[in-house]
Amino acid sequence: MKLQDAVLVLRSKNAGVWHITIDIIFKNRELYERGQKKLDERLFLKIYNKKSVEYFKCDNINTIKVSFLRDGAAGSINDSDCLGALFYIPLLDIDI
Amino acid sequence: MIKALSLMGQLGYGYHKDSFLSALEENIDFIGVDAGSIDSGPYFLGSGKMKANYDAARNDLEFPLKKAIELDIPFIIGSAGYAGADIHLEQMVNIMKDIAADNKLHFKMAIIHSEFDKNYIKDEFLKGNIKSYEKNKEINSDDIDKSTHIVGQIGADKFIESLKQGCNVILSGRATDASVYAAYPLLMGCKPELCWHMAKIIECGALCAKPASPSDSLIGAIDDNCFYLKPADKQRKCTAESAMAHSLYENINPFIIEEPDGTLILDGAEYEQFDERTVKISGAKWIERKKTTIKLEGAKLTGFRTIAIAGIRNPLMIEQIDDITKKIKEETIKSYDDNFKINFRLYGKNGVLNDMEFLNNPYEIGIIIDVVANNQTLAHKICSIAKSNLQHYDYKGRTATGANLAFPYSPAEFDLGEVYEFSIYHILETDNVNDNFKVETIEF
Repeated sequence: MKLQDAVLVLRSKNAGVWHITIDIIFKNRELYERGQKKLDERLFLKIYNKKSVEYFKCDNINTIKVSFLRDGAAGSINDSDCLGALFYIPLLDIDI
Repeated sequence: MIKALSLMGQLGYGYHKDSFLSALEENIDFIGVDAGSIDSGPYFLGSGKMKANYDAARNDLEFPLKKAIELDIPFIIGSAGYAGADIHLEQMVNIMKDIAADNKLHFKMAIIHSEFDKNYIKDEFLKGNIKSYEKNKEINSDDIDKSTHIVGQIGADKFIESLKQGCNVILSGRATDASVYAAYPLLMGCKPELCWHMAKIIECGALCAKPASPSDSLIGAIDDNCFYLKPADKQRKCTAESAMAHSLYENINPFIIEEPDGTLILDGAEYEQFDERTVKISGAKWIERKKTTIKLEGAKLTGFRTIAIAGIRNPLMIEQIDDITKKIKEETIKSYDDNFKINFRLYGKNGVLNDMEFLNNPYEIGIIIDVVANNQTLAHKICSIAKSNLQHYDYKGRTATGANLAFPYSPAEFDLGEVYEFSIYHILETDNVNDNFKVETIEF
């Protein structure tokens, strides 16, 4: 099953000028537990080419939340996504 | 019970007059609207221009303000003119003056300043009171010197002071989104954890409802031990899921939200469906901070931009596009050793995701030749040269000796003017920081 079919919400957004935060809210408990097995911290380090990310599990709302520093501040000369709105795209087709 | 009406997610987005009017039938205690953000980048803070222009801002303010005066309830506007520096406040004050004069409205308005004097920031920096925010790079004195404006995201303190002075209308410089909505219920003695949690969710208007929209109103009502959220428009509903999802929005940490005067802790929060369109929320905690901390925002001029837009459709050229753009970039930099940066954005290939892109099968590329230089004339010249080099580049296997690019516009180059970048996004922790934020009052 692809991640995009297992979620209510899959989005990315700036959290301030220097950070991206990704919210993955699963449709139910079962999918949330299934999703965690695949979507571990390592996977995010790899996809977003980061040395560290902040990884949160929110059990009460079946949510994984991951935040990390951007390469440059939002809206800087080479930035291509001022809102950080499309950083979730590489996650859509991940098979869980 | 204290009832807040969040007019819309952001001033300038528009609102629904019918749902606004139906919300007012529910004994609303005050109306709030957030007018700013850093979302749209550093340009507005750097340049002093407003994001929503005069017409858009006036359109969203005029009728709701008239109703607020008629009902004698406070009308609170945060982060005026988007970035909330003094120059933005000034433009918004003029809009308020015009609205008051044209409608013969009489009210007392507080103007809260949140722009800092650079020398003060410099002193605080030298004292070691400015810290990085969640591991972003440390601030240096050059960042401070070069910033055109430095503002602080203020908390509820000055809003409360203004309400105590009997102001019907508050126009604030940069403020945290939640402060706009937390101040009034705090003054009325509601529990701070409820005030801040509610404020944090309703600041985006009906964005936390289903169907979501930042261009519609939301009602937040605080009771003794819980609060309620309900969209003004009867076609929308707030669900436990939509409210929970929204409390995560735009925060690094899902359980902790830092405000200037304290920390909101959400791991014990409970969301329950109250009726079909209303959600009931409780269980957050609030820890008051000993010393107010202020998030600083600064932007500096970094150059002038010229761009050219063109389409590429030849398969051979698309195959070689990375090599072609690399060579043109190198040659341009070698030939003109002036101060500029050149970037080719390849939409249809990897223009959005850059190095993160995982597909590689473009048949058409929209290219933006993006040049930022230390003056506009130079940016224009470099962009024009890079454009004609790309237009006539003799790539391997080329048969079309006319031109390589389809230009949708004449002229192909666009001068976009000043480019700014964020220079400061750091935390200021010092004594009596709120004394910097002056409150003026004017009566219409």
